[in-house]
Amino acid sequence: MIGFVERTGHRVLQVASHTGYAVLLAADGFYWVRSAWQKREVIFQQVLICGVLSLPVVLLVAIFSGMVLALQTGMEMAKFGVEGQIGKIVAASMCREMGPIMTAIIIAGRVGSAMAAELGTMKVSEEIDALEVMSISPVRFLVMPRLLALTLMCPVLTAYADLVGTLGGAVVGFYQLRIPYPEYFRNALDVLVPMDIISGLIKATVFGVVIATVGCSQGLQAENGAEGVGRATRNSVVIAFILVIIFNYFLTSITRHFF
Amino acid sequence: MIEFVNVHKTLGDRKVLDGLTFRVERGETFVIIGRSGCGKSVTFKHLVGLLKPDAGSIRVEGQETTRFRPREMLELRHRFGMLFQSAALLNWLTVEENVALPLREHTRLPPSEILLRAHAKLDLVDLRDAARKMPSELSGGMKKRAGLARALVREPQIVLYDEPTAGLDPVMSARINRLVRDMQGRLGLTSIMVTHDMESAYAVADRIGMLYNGRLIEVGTPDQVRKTQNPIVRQFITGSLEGPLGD
Ligand SMILES: Nc1ncnc2c1ncn2[C@@H]1O[C@H](COP(=O)(O)OP(=O)(O)O)[C@@H](O)[C@H]1O
Ligand SMILES: [Mg+2]
Repeated sequence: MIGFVERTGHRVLQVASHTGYAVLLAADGFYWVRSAWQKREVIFQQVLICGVLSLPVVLLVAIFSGMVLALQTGMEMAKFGVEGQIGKIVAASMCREMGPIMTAIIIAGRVGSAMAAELGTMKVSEEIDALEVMSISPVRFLVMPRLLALTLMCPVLTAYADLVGTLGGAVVGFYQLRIPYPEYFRNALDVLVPMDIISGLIKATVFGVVIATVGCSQGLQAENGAEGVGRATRNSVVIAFILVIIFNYFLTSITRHFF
Repeated sequence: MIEFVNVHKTLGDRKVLDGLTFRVERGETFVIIGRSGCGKSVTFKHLVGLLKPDAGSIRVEGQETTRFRPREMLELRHRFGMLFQSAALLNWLTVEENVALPLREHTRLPPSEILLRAHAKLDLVDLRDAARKMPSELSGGMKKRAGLARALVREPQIVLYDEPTAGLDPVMSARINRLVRDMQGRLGLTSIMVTHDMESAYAVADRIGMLYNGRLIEVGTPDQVRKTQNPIVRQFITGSLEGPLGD
């Protein structure tokens, strides 16, 4: 019993200290955005890695998400003869929920984990220490470009996913439900208020910050050689997933409350 | 002048430094010898503020560094050049970019001048031909030398060498030893070297200290150390199997 309490207490403290570390790291990272211009090459490189190279995966996932969404709801709606409205459902759910979440999950798995692995490897091979001894801030040098790139690219990728998913829905709508494209898109545009898209993009921005922060902080706290790097990588994905899902709920409830 | 006074540090459940005390004069080359895992690298990490002692005091030029604020620590580190045991080159930069990095980050010199200085240091360690290579294309010894060039590129006053000759062939080791001596002679650098290569220790040291169980059990000139009566030191420097050092 005591052992259990002790272990739980220890765990809680550990989580608290990791959280504190991550929050400070993000704050420090954004502080260094003021030297973004000097680091533009690295930032550009990160934008390329996390943004452009993620496009094919996002394309695949988003298109099939939109398709299955149209299929499932369309079949049900057909029972009531309102499958013509399918464009509304697909567009609204892509922009509000599916787009941001799908993109975040892809980015966490593809980019966040790579950040943890990369920085973790540097940590355990003394490269981070070497930077510190050279009076080069690892946050300015490594974290800021990654944080900034993801914060910018997450909404961009999300907008792309929104678009592609809606198109996927249109294709299914046409071939499976016999809904002409003009009708589909008229419905889609009908239901979408700018706030749907904007709220989704705000979410995506937050997710970008969360994923980069978790990836970098896990990496920088890696210990014990290759095994530690593996653990940091795995943790970064799991923690980012959980945080994205939790943040998503609260962001939805906030935007719903205000708009 | 660098001074450790009664420094204690426990890492995990192991007491790594246990009352470590020593003093290195300005312009001196001090060599710390000791077995693998005895805390030599940990000692260096205390000196540059990567680790904080649990107790005790560390002074550089009379300043107590253990109570330094981050900004003061940053200033202090400008005076240090450190060669890491693993060389710690950034693997996505070429050798010359690695060497140029400290200048690029801390000076406003034009890129051509930075490159010139980086190449001068690469010449010093005989790596000019590998300037455009990536660290992954280098042997262990070449990485070490590149790390050395990087440690020297900012012309530091104090240089820390963590096993500079490990993994080098005897000829290259001799070259590095001479380089260390030369720089001390020409530039009046204060150097601390950590090694278990006795040949290198004898070649460069003004004084040698042996780290054992978290403290220096013997300090003296190379000649004094050669003639030591301490059985532990004797066994270590002669590399014999028989003696008080366990396995
Ligand atoms: N960050 C750390 N956490 C826990 N133990 C460490 C850490 N760094 C070093 N140690 C331990 O301290 C001891 C001394 O390490 P080190 O100074 O690297 O030895 P060496 O004399 O070979 O350079 C070793 O037993 C090592 O396992
Ligand atoms: Mg060592």
